[in-house]
Amino acid sequence: MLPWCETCNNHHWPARARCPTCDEAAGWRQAHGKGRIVSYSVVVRAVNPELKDDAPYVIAFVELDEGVRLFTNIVDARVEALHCGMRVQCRFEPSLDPQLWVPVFAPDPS
Amino acid sequence: MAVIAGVAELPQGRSDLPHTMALHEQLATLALQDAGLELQDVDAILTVSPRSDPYLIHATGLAEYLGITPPIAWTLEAGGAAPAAMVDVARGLVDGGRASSVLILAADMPLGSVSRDAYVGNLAEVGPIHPDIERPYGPSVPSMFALVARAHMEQYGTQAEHLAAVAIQNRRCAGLHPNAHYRDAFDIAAYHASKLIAEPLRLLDCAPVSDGGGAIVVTSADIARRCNANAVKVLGAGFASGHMHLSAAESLTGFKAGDALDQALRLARLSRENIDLALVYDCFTIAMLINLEDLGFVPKGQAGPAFLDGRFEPAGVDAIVPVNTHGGLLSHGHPARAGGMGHLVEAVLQLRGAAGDRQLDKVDIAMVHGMGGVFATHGVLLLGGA
Repeated sequence: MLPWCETCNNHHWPARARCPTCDEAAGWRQAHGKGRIVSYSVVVRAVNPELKDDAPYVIAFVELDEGVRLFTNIVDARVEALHCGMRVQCRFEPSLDPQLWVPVFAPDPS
Repeated sequence: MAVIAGVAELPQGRSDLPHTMALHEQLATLALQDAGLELQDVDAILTVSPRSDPYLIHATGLAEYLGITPPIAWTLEAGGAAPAAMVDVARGLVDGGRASSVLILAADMPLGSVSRDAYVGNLAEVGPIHPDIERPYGPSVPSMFALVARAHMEQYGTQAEHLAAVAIQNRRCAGLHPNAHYRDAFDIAAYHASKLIAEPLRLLDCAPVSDGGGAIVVTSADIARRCNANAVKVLGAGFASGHMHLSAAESLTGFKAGDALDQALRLARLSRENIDLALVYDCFTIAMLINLEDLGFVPKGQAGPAFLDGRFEPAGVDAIVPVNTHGGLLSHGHPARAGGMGHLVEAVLQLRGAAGDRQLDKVDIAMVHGMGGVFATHGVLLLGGA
């Protein structure tokens, strides 16, 4: 689901009180979960103690086909194969807080 | 008219002072001495809240520690744009008749008071990272700048050699500064050998964590004259903000520093060509390059090649403008919440002709740029000799 404005037919992100384009109240709409990597970084030195064992891991900005840019992790990918523009697909995984599942992205097989 | 009448800093790096208040007290004493004023003359104190000292209203706590009761004791939050913001607020207080002498302090002891790891972790917890939509993915602050660096490389062809040129030049400048945290020069091979922190950024792309900071005294031109202070004028100030969290930024490769400079230039009735020295916020090498482009000293995408060609060298033959003669945050030091205070102190010293081995031949106008967050908020001061 992504914030969606009925008035100007646009998604936006992050979620805001009002649509940043037309200032109307915004709702939510199902997204397709596909997009491309805009930028990524391999975190060699983790900051959070809980993540020390996971390093190196990949953080990234992914631009969804709906046109918004999400901060996320890239998973199931060889680091050497990563590149800007790479097609990726969303799935949900538990975060540091196991109650909270967050969208992460893996290489798009299609 | 308000002027900067006093400045002070101490060696950046690991401080052996017992706590952050002691550092503030020493800096206050030195800056007031430099201005020819007494502690009792201070009727306004402005500070940033140091990460290493948990006071609700830090400036009021500092006044208490110093044993004075100025009517105004305010703490201001603007990240690395705070030094510029504090000077502009002080100028308003003095010019508006609310205060006669304003003591501005930004100092922090992230090494002395807490462990380096705790500090870096803390920065990621309460720093420029969004608690809900960014933090769950485990970003460090360097990794946020790494995303910007990769995007800039992708869009403009910026290379590791360009980032290295920034780190190498800053270190060479810091070698001439007795207060700099890191002074030993290094070459491109040492840069490539430094460990990766968050690809594509290496350790030498990142500013160190330093104890340090500085103090400034703003007062009226009349008082400065009476005290025989070597005063510097504030010719213009400008501010701009685009986002708080990188997720909400319009672009990943260009931000708002230029808007802040445009405003300051309009107020000062000056143009970019008048600037003899640019102190640019450089918490990471990529920040120096992007800020130089956004400030309009070079077209977008060209800061890296220009830097590598030596066009921002202090003594460059074909220089566009000399930058960060003190070594910048990258080598002079990055005292946590007090980041950018060294830029301001250096501008004043250069304008006074008191920068020692680093002194440039001609400095009539100096620009100080500060930045908070990941390119989030910007403050620019234009300073000139009295």
